[in-house]
Amino acid sequence: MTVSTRTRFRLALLALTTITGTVIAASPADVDRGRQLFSRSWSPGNPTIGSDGLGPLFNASSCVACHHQGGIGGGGDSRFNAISLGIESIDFSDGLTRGNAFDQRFGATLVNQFYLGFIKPNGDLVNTQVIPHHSLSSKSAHKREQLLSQLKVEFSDAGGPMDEGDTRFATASTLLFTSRIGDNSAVIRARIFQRNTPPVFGSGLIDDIPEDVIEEQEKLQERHPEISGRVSRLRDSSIGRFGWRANVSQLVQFVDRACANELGLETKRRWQTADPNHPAYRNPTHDIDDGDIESMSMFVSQLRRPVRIEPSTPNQSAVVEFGESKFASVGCAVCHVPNLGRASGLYSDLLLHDMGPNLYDYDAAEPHVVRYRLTNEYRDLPPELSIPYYGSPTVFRPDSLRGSMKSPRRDYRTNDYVPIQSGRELSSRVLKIGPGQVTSTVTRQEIGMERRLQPSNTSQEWRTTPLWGVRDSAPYMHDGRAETLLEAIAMHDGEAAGTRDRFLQLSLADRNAILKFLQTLVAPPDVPRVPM
Amino acid sequence: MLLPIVAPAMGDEVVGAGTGISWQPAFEPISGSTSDDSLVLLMVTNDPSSTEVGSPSDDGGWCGEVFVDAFRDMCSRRPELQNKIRLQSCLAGLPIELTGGKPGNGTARSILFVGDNQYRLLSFVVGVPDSSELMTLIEDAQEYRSMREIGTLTDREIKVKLSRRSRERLTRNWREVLDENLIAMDVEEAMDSTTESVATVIERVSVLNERFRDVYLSDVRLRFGLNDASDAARLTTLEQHVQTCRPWCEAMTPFVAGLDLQKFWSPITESVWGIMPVRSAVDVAEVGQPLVGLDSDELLVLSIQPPNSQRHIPWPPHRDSTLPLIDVWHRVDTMARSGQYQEINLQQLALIMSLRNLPPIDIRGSSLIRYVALPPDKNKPLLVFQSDPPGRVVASLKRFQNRPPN
Repeated sequence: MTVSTRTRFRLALLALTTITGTVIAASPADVDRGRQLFSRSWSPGNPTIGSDGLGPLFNASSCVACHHQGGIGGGGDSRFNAISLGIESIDFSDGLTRGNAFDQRFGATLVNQFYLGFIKPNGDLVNTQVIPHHSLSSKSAHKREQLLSQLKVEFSDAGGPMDEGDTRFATASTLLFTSRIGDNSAVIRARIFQRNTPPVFGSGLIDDIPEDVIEEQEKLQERHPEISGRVSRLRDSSIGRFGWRANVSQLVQFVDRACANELGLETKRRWQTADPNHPAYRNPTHDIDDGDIESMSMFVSQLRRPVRIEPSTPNQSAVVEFGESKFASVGCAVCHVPNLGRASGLYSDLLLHDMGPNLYDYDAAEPHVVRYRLTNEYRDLPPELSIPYYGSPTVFRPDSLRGSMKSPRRDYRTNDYVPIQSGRELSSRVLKIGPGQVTSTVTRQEIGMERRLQPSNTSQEWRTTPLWGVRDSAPYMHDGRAETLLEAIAMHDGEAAGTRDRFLQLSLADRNAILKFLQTLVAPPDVPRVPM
Repeated sequence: MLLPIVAPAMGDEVVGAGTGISWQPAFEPISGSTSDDSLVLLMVTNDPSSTEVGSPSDDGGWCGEVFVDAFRDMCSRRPELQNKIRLQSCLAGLPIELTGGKPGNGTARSILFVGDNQYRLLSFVVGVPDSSELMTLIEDAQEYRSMREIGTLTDREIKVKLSRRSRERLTRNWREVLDENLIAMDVEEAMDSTTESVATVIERVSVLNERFRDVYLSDVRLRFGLNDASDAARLTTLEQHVQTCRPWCEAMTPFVAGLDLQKFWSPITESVWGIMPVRSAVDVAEVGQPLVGLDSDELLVLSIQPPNSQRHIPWPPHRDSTLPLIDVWHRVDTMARSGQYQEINLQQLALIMSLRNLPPIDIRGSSLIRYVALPPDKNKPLLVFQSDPPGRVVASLKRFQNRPPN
């Protein structure tokens, strides 16, 4: 059964039924409650429900702290970039291989000397680790400061780099660390990766875009000589719409995950980011309940879509109109599709595209699924089923922990198996085959999906960024390394290299016309401003 | 002997008078009746310059139309500026006489200088500004001119103020290198074109460019996703947009503001283009002095000055150079100097090609052009590039020297 076939499996998420889907008829009271929560500055400890509140690790104490450009719900500049640490390679000394067996415990100790968190509780060594901006533990704060001080980069009090120059410099710098115990050593080469805060204006409309509309874009591009976007098929077979990696399918899930990962507010489905310096610590209970997440989602879904401003003179209008036609003729509009479903003026296909080797990080996109079939054959289940917030790290299996280990830029797998049910996030599921045909509730070991994968450059595949509101959402690209639209266009590579070159081959006047057209795409008017 | 200046005598014609926008030729004399607060916008482009008498007037070159749109837009917002600004155009790419008879200056380039009514450099940008960028450029120029006119600030204090302005617009890596050079400036003292020789100032501009150029190249690599030398053409295209080179201009401005534009537009332009700009139809009295008295009935060997950035590299190569066949190059040089010999730049080369009515040559090679030998019989000139086998050059020069005069 192909992904985009006649028969479609629809996997409804029962556990999320109370908070899934687009909020169509949100009450003003709910939206207002959501707005208050979105703007609320959280603090540690929540005696009312006995949870630990904000943290222990967090990027900001409120949503608006980062989402504020052009008003509440906008993007954020580089000072608010989320940061992660990615291991490029590790060279273990020979002494760590005893006979044919690698001393995993010893290797883990060496990696932990570099930075805690790469070794997961089950012993897996992963290649990325989030470095939240703030910590309630002085030890964690000190470790972060110590790590970042090795970069010749200025960081803001908010936690991210001071400006786009520092963003670029931080990402381009290599961190070298030699870890040593006795005669054994590990030389670790690592790099800082960042994610810029995206605006969430018009998210309700994105949430509403039917999956077949997104799949249709993939089909359209199959015949294109340069562009080959693919849907981000997630582990539950849904299609990703949100996030730089398109690894979240629904807005409510996006809000749910942001609470846990950005604010350290544990939800009923997502653990808050754990502090690796205090591994035994557990939050007594969740920090935010489903009603509040639902309200926040309602508020975000009600945020108006960005608009297009009319130039002030007929001459400027003509230039903008001409710019838009050039935008289409050089090929920008193949991926930056003007209208998708009801999201008119979106300028995105919501597909994943290979953007070339300069734009990568190790929190990778989901693998490229070309076929899947349901199976009830029991397989060894991967320990982590929910997709990590920023993307999927690579797990280095013990076999690969000999000698030199290098993070892959590409997912080489040709098949895998994902169980339908996962532990905490989804407590039960109902399988629907065809419209309205509910079969039965299934349990963890009974059913799974065998997926045929196509190798792809998952570390450099990014969702086409919607261009609506683009004038008011600088900096650009996934980590905000581009200060201007011209920089952003010039950075397009991979599938987009041909389009970029055609843009540069235009006359200066034509290029300027495209830039002027893009400058007419602005944040929605009358959005309440955030006092900074 | 004069080569006629192509431009019409424009006198006091100013931009915006009437409905159209007029361009003047570069460095048109400014009459005494012109108000003190007038500004000159000198657009230098790499369109092929012309050595022909009566060639079409320079109208801003390849970017004239785009620039005029921006200028009009700016004037609609700041109408009081319209009558204070003169637009001057300078086509300064290699003439076709030096590019094999066909236009051959590669990707279009431009630099816009702002000068006062005495042609003192006030501000400049690389590329073609849009109306907002043009406004900023003019406001920067006016600010600098005000600082000078107030008269209470020393040159050094003015440069520090300009540096502060630049710092606010630069990212941290640029701020650091600017600060380093300000400290160096304290040690070296400010450039002063009124007291220092032209050659000294040119050398200092070149040194400054060398310091900022490395930062610029590493900066644009990250800003525009450029990876290697094959991306150089992309960078040149991007430099048509002011934002690309703006940090470099901001860093350079505190050091070059106030220089005599007529003397130093060329080395500053060369800093960006990597090749000396060549103006159209220049006055022989202005640049042709080294050519006076040269006999066209004898072999003439012209040694071509390398770009300023490479002028410190000795030629012929020193004994410790890694270039092959050093001794043979010394022999070439000795032979060249044994007859009629002159060191000239590309501007002068273009002039002599025109004066002697020689067939076009192509000085663009995979390496630097070092000599042009003009045989007495108006035959095809011999071009000698740095990567040429010097033994063959020796043989050719011998042949020319032994050729009986016509």
